[in-house]
Amino acid sequence: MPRLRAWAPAAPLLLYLAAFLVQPSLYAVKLSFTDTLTGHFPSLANFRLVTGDGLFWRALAGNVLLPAAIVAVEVAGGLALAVLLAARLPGRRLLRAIVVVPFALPEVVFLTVMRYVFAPRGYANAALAAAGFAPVDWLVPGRVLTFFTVVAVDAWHVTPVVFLMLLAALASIPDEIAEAARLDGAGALRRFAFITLPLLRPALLSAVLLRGLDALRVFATPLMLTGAEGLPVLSTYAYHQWSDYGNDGAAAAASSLLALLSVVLTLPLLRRGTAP
Amino acid sequence: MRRIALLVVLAVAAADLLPLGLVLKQAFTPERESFAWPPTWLPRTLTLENVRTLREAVEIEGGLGLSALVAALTVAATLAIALPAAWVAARRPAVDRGLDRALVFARLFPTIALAIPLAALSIRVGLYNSPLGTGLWLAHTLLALPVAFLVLRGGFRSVPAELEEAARLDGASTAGAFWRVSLPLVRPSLAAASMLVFLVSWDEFGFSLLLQVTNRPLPPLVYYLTAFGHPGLASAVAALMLVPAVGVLLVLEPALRAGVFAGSGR
Amino acid sequence: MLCDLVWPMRARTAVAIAASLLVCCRRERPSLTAAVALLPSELPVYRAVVADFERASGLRVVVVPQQYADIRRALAAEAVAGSGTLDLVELDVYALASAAPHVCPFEPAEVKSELDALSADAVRAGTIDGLRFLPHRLGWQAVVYDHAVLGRPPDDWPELLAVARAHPGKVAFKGSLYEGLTCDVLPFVWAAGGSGDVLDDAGALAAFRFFAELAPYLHPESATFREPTVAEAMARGEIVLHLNWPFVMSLYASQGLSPEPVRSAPLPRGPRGRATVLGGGYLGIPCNAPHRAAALRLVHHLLAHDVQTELARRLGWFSPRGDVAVADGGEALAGFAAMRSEVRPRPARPDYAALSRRWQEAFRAVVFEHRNPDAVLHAAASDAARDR
Repeated sequence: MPRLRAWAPAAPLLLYLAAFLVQPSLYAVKLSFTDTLTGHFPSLANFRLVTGDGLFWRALAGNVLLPAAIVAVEVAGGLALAVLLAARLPGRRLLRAIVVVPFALPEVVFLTVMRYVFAPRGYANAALAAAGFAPVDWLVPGRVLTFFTVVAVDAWHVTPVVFLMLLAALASIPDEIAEAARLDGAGALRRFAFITLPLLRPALLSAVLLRGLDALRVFATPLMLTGAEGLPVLSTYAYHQWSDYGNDGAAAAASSLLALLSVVLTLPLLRRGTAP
Repeated sequence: MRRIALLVVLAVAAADLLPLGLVLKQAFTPERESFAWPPTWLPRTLTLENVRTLREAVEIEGGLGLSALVAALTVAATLAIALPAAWVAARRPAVDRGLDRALVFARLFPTIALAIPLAALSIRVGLYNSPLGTGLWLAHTLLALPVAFLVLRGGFRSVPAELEEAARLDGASTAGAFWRVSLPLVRPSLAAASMLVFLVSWDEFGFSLLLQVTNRPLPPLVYYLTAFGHPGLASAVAALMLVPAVGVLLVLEPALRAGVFAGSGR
Repeated sequence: MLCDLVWPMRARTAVAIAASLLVCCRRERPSLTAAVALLPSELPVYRAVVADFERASGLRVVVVPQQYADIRRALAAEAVAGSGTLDLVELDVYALASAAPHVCPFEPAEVKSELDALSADAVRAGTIDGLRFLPHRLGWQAVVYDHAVLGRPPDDWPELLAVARAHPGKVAFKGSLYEGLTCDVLPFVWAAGGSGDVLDDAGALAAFRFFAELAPYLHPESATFREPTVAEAMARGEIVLHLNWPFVMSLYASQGLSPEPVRSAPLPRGPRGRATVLGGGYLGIPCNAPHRAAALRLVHHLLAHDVQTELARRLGWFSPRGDVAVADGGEALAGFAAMRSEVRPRPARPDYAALSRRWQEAFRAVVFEHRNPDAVLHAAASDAARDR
């Protein structure tokens, strides 16, 4: 009984999740095992359909590569920014606020603006032209550069969140530790590598897990910049099946496979949880 | 070294202000200028034309009111649910592990896969297309809970459990100790969580599109204007949406300095 | 007990207010909800037309402007739940088949006057297990071109190729893997004498050999273009010519880009003449519509002669009614008006979606992967034969 009572304060949370998460998720899973044409359940028809589609396999590959790159760039970028802005730079209060501004822009708006930045006649190419360089095809499907443009745009928008998490963790490292190391004669780089980084490890791991789970569901960025086929991932593939072919069963199958992929890829971190 | 750091930070800051600047430029210049080549970095003509067209075309005032209401109610619902859970998670590792995993599951399915069943659920219980967005803020709570939980749990971890025990020794109940001792101490985390949750709801458009058919908040309006090729009109709505968003960030900045996110990473 | 304490008062109050207001709003005068794919610039005129109906009927109508895909999704969600809000929806021709189960058929008797006046071809496209959809407006593709750069639009295939060569990277197709691509492909197949039904008849081969010649000069992002994105690229001046539907001309007009520099022109003549694909918006009443009878009255109103004339005159829409003249849209719409007699419906067959996808994949293989057109089409045809 005391163990149950310990859980009591979490009851609203668990009840809420049961109503608003479990039910829709089960519906999606059921739909993925229902034959769209005959209504037969259970059936593997949807999974046969998607695994026979070349675009699905590209989406699956994209769903591993793109989130990996996004998480790497955003955690590295967020860490660099946090370290730089934890230092005593002039005007750092203002700079900290500015760095978070992209996150305040709604995703739809941000991505529309990015289409104007990376279009052939966009701001990026205008800046290149002003500096005397030739224009670049930033978002042409099938090119490696397109992948990096999409990563850069996502990082541009979401790095502030990682920055916020890591800045806070940095602030909680007692000054005395770094001070002691400095007195021992350790240089800035050594202090970072042997003191700051190990102390930040838990925060970095949670940042990787949280961003990873969201990046695995990355959707609007590749869709709005490259369409459903330019740089497919599983959620844009599901959207493509639903929106272009009206096939909600195939869309649900792709979504369920994405959920499965997320569990598999985050299992090592999940076991550990976001708590140390 | 410091000079290089400053240069890097200034370059990043410039890049981070660029999208904001472009949105404001597009909002207050004629739409034709948004398509100019070479593109204009600063507005050539300033106009309120987009704002006027907008008021004729879409239900902008109603959208603004609904967006604010839904965001406020999402904050209330999310905090009500996350606050006790985050507290118990900070105090009991076993509960913490369970909740942590449950919240991870909230992030497994793509929004598009959940949107239709959620819409169907809210129709069945009569919350669909509600003038108060009831179905919508209940759905937004799903997106906001993990954020609020992490921030609040961090806050409670920074409050030593001994303080609550001391209050209990003085005769307070568990609830009383929580209410009178811990809660006041996590006020900064509470503020930070509220603001982040507000932004999550304020910017969300996937669920909004599907759950609110006629009573639409602002993000589906932006989406509609964007999809039909009106960067000027979409930016004008976006500029309106920015006011509270930037306000939230400015208020959040001192909280950042105070390190309220500290625990969220530990 | 604990959670009881923590549950903040304001949340409780909010829930109480929410519940009571919900009840109040239910008592309000019933209003019709119509989801229609309208541009922001079309809304004032459309709302004025609907206001006439409101005055005459005493009913309130909420017009929700959305994209076709979003209307379809809303319809699907309401169908899953078994009840809903939408009384009337407008869907594009291609979506009719997948939306048909969610929409109730009209009784021929209740729409008799409309059936007499509407074009028979257009009505046939809305008939899926009964008459479920009535055409609201028709659409077909024409060439949309940059008049300032091209001066005169290309009149036939060789001239189109010449334009592409003279402006490399500035001619675009809607090459995304979706129905819009089929609408770009079929006119060329038909213009070469193909049936559109057979993937490797002589017309299809001729059209795809032509695509292969055009391929090196197409806009590099053609593989991801759809209607809105290709229109946006044209607005930025990145392309000088593409195929699109009449709605883009209203869009360009509201952006100040039409009639100068953007105008429309007939599709270039192929070896066997010109052709374009029938499209358009269709009205249907969802099975779950709360006010079916009133929705039917609104349909009568929207398809009436006077209203259709008004929509044609002020929005440049092409009416499905035979007795409404084509609006004089001036230079901007001239190309669309000229194509009116060349409109053809898509092949009517149960497996059209699969056929359409084969056309799309064949185009993408030939144009973006530079594969041999004859080989691609023969392979596609034998695959299709095996599937049947």
